[in-house]
Amino acid sequence: MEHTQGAETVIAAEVEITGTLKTSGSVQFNGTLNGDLIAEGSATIGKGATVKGNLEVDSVAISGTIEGNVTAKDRIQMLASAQVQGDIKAKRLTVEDGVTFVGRSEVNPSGEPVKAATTSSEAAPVSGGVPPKNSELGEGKGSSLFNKK
Amino acid sequence: MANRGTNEWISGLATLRATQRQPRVRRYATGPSIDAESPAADDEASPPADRTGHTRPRPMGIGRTTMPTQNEVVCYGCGFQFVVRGRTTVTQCPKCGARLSMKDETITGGFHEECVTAGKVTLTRSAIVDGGKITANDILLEGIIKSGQVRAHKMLTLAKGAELPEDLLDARSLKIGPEASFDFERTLELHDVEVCGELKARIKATGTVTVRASGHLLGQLMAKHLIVEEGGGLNCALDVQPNRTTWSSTEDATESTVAEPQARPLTEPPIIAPIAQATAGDTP
Ligand SMILES: [Zn+2]
Repeated sequence: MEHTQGAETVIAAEVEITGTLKTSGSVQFNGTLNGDLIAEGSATIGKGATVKGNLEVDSVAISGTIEGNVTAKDRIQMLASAQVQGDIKAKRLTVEDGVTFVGRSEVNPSGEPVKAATTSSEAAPVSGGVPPKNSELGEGKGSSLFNKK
Repeated sequence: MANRGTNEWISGLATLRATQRQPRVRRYATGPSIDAESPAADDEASPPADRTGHTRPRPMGIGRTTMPTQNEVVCYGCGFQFVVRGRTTVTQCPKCGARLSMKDETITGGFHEECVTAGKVTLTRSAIVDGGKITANDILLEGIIKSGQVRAHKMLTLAKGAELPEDLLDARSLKIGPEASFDFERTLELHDVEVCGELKARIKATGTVTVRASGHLLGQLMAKHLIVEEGGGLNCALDVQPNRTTWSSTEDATESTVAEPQARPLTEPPIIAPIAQATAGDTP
């Protein structure tokens, strides 16, 4: 059989795999995976699919459940039924209304260094609006909307 | 020949009747407006032709009803939310009976008075508010607020160049305009948040947080709904759960009550480790 690079592997809903799933092409995963998924191409995690492990892919569209970290070279797409518990990292991200996502996200399409890494007390004033620091404002005298901790 | 002429005459009469009766139907119709895509609407737009090519009269009693625009208004007296139809400059709260101004106001230059409306207040680039009170349903801030009281019962929009001490931010929903950049150290408890510029904050949102293609959200987010458009940036610790109702005041997005991910840690260092450190100082 001729080896075709970039071909899509389809794994059906009734398949359960324990271990690392690795492909040089793309994969459409609808089953249960207890382990990592590594794909040089794109991955599609179907609606009923469950992955308990990390994903390392070029791009991924998630409709199922992932308990693990997702790292994509290009793009992560979280569709409405997606449930992700873990950290994500990608160049581009789209999230549809309805997703469950508990974790950290590092998506920076502009490629500029992330200011979030600085602590709030060290944060430099941003351009545009320059809100004074709490020390200047006096703490705890704000509106009822805010619960200063 | 004579038969065709009679047909034309009858058809013409029917059309005349239809045109005569239509205004009455429009005037008195109070039912739901007819959708442009509904069969009835299509029927009206292109009446069917009979075999002789003449149009048949349309069924009577169906007309197009133009509904007046609906305005959701929040009473600045009692906070009751209701709907006002059409454009008006004044209305009355059905709950507390207060007479509410619905005027849209624009503030330019120095301002230290009171401006209360259930409409929209625009503070232009030249506006500098030092004292006074601004209460409106929607507030668009392009200028500077130094002190005073500012309350948006619906949406506060912070545009590029706006300045607002964060303890004065008092709004139900918040929008960060394109190219605007804001950094809040306090926890923002809001309903909806829309980010078209850059926002760094700790947010608890009971509604939907939307990061537009031009937007970038940093910090921490606890929300029921999240939408990220392609091109939008997201560097956050997140806890987004549509079924969840509340977050405790001391809870961090990073220490959620949901089960910890079973995944093995990445071999590389954690993605945004400094966020946890940033919030550690805030935690009592
Ligand atoms: Zn009222």
